[in-house]
Amino acid sequence: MNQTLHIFRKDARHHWPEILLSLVLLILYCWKEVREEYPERFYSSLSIIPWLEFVPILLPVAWFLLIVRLVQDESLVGDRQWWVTKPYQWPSLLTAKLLSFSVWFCVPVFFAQCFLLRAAGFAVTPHFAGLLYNQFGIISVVLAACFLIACLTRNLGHAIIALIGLFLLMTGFSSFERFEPNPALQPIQGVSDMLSGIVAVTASLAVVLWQFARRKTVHTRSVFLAAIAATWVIQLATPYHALMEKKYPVASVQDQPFRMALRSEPLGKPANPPQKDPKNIFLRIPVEVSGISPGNFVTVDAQQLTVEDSTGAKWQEEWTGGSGQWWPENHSIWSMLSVKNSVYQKLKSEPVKVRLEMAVREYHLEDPREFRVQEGEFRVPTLGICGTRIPLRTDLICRSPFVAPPFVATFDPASAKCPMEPDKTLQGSSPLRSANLGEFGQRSLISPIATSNIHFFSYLPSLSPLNPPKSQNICPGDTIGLSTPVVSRHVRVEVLLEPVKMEEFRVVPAQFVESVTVGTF
Amino acid sequence: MTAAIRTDQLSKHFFRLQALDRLALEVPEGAVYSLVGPNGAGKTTAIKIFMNLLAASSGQAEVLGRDSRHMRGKAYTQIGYVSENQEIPEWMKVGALFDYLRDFYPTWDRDLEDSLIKQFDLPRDRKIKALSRGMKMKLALASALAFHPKLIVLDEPFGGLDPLVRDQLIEGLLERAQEFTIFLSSHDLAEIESFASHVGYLEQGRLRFSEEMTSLTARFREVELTFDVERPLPSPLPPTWLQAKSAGAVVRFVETRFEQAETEAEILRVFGPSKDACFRPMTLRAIFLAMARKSGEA
Repeated sequence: MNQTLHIFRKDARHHWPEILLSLVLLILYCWKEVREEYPERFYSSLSIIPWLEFVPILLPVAWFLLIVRLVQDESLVGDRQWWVTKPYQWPSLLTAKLLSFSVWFCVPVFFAQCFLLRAAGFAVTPHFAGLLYNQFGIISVVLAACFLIACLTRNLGHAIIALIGLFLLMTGFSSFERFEPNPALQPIQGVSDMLSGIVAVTASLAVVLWQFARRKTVHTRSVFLAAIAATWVIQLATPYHALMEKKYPVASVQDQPFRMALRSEPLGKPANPPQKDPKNIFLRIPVEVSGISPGNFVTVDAQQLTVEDSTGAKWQEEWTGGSGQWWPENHSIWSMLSVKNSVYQKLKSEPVKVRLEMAVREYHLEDPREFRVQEGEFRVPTLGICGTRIPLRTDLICRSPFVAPPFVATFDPASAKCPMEPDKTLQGSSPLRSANLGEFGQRSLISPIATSNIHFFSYLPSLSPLNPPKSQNICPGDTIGLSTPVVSRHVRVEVLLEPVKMEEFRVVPAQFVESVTVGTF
Repeated sequence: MTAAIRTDQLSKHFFRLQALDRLALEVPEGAVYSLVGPNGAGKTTAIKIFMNLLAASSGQAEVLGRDSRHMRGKAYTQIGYVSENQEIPEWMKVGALFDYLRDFYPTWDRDLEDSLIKQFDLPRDRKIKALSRGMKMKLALASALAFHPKLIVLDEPFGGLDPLVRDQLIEGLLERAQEFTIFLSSHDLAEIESFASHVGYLEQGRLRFSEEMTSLTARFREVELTFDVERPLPSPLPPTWLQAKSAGAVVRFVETRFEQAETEAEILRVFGPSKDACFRPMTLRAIFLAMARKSGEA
């Protein structure tokens, strides 16, 4: 322990400029954060210094500098270092470095998070465990990565080169499209992510301990690179399609969570001339979705299209990502699909069968409750502290500690306290909904605050991609329903749309993007 | 006598380069052992293996009875290591370095530290990076002596130093030489001749010989024979004779196994009676030059 403290004190004496820099930047970061998020409470007559905008970039740089310099004060690489022939105990050395990181990195970040939590209106004590857990996340992301690089490189210059090299390696790999799993298969990437995580954590620990204990740089670098390669192999070797089929079992026709049928609605002429000889052709097929049980709703995680001609010949596309939420009331929507140009050119004018296989999640709504919108900021149980942004009243922004919980908010436009313009008055009786289905994380690595947004789109009767929905105002006195979405099952649903003449539904990419943006499908 | 350093079939290769070739070395306790040899002979490689800074490719080394592969942590409380290539923490002041080191060694002697600082004229309040090369070496040596080590390992400690600093270092070492074993590497033979008790000659990774200095200087002689008439060199010559040359009636060679009576008898057998025979003792430098030329010829 004496040796640990002895090394710790020496490091503090040597690296006070780096420590001071990271502390100052952390303070500036907190100041910037509260000024931007809560300007009414943290107004300062000081004008915002332009370079303050760079603080979120400079802070990780300062941390990297601090961690690398601290580790490399007793560099583990090479054989010329003075310290290696002195009676250093490697566990003491490692502990001293970890103590330095705790004191100069973890503790300041912890206090910064306490401050940001308080500034956001939350008490610190009830969230103490969360703050500690949060430290674990920060340590595993920032500290572990920088620590590893510092252990395996000789000096700061080498560490920067290694960091850039690693970044290029990862970027290069992920941009190597044919190796990357289809984004549509992300819902079942958990298995490979978990395996990769285990490999990465085990290898990182092994590298650090081995390097501190024996300084076998060649060996530890090999382990490090092998671990990177292993995570890639895991990503590549994961049987995504098999996992997809297992996670989303096929639902029988009676058991399907919804029905989908072709809707007769001509599309009209495309707004822009079609692109010449594109790789893919985009189709926008009008469909009617119905049959969703009350109290439930459905989201589409991924979809796969198969086109079948009159002779029974089939052309199957890859799985692609899905989007949209379907509720119990009937939906008239456009199904946005993409087919290969070669298939399209071959079959565009003949009626074909379009078989759509969808990996869907069925949710059940639980714990229904209501809250009334108040002037300014107000607390909503489970959601945190909410408020509208004046003068723009279309968003109710809620902040909560660490994660924003999943929710479905409903609103009856007929009871709106501040309705929209007369020409945009809502018709029909459908409630408006705003859903947050995932658990949104923190605003940044440091801020312990997560935000969620309640935004109601008004579904006008004449809704079309060229006539997008308008936003509903949210005003004090409005009552908003709230419930918790719980996934009740994952299923695969197969829908047959026929007859479809593809050339009648072709759209240009701009219209496709526009349609997706307005959230049809 | 027990050995402070012992190696057995110690080899090290860097890819295809054989830096050490089956080195078998024994440094007796209390000796001042000098490992000499030309640049690139493998001296630093051997020392790095002793200090566990490098792993041997095969064979083994023992330092103070411990396998060199296990040299770490507490083992260094008995060994002082000084190398010209060491990266001393230059951001520290001289005094701060001693303050820092003190806590690592249970046997650190504060009085000895003060005396060494005084002896080497080290300025306590000056940053190490502001010191000259000679001062840095003195600092390194002082820090390696202040804890009463059992073994001092010096890798080319005098390279590039001015004579005054060199003498100060040697003096500092010799004053306390009875306390510990000294193992040093050098390619400057003149500087070690005055104080080395044992010497080993390393060349191209091979130990040509390793023996006590007295025995080495005793068995090497420069022999000059004068004859009445020109005397060509017979062939073959005895294998213990090196660099044999004939110039008219004078024959010169280096005898590597000098024993007065035996050498004289051998000369008589090879050349017959000579007018005059002169046996001159050789400096270490002359001995190594002869050895180096021999291996160059080979």
